[in-house]
Amino acid sequence: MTPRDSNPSFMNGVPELLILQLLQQQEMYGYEIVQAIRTRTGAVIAVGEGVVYPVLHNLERDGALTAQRKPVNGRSRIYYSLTPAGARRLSDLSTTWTNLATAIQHILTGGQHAQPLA
Amino acid sequence: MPSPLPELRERLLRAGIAPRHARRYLAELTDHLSDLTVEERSHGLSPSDARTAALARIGTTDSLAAAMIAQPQFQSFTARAPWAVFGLTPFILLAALWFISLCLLRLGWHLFLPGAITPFGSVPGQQLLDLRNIYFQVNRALYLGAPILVGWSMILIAIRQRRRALWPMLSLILLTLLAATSHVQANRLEVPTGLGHIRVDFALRPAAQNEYALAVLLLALLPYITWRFRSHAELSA
Repeated sequence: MTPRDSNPSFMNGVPELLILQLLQQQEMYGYEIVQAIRTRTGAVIAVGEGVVYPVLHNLERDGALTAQRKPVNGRSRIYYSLTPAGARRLSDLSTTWTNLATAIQHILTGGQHAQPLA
Repeated sequence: MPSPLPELRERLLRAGIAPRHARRYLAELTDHLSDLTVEERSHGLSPSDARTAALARIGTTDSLAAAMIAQPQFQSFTARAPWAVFGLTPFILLAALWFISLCLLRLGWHLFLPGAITPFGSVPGQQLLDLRNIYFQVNRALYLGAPILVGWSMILIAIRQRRRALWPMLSLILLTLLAATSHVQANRLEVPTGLGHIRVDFALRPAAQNEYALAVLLLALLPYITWRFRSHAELSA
């Protein structure tokens, strides 16, 4: 069996945005985060599931997330939750991505930017 | 399909990822793999097929390693500044241990040999198990063993973080040079108004000191040679 295809551009800031958005709603551990991404994107965004952890560790290091080990069903899990700094980062990223998506959509639908006055 | 985790660990450490970051990454991947296996089993796969499917989903060794190695902030200080760890730390540690040893020498001189011109040399009527003798011999062992202890700590860091042999060898050569050239002198007469004077000077010494330096080098090197042989044997097996 070969590993599932993944989207190479996935790592360019998108996982960070998705993770922050998911954790804004509730704390989760890594497996839950990956499953939530798969479910909520209809598996459009596919990724080697293990690569989510360096992103989580990086966000934690930057103070955007906190990690806490908790026992669940006899096993220890590391739960991640959003910090106020993470919420601000999410807001900035959301704005950036919304603008980007709007601009791309505008081009795809054949629209043009307003021309400057001569 | 074999688990990628043991190979991943080696690759992360060799790439300079700090052991604590590598350990946590592997621990979370192990948990994740376990969850994926349970999920695949719930879809009706056999245990071995579920394991294979879980390994395929978690990612290849290459992708898992690349995701972590791409984050330079997870590199250890040893990987970022090996010259500081293996070039400067031995000096600092050895200076600290020798300083402690010389302070103890000074204390013993004051407590056990008040008025003696030097703390070195035999005391008339002193027994082998005399408290004074034990005190000075233990302190002597600390002084002479300090380069070996520091060498072992450098070797331990090099092994733990999979550093190239060049760096711990640099440490051991520095330590051997210090051991070969250092000499402690203690004499009450050098500073007439003082309580006694202890100093360490560095110069080339007679053959006896060279034998000590060689012993330092070989003893400090022993754990590294043992580890290399074991690693080689494990790879060959």
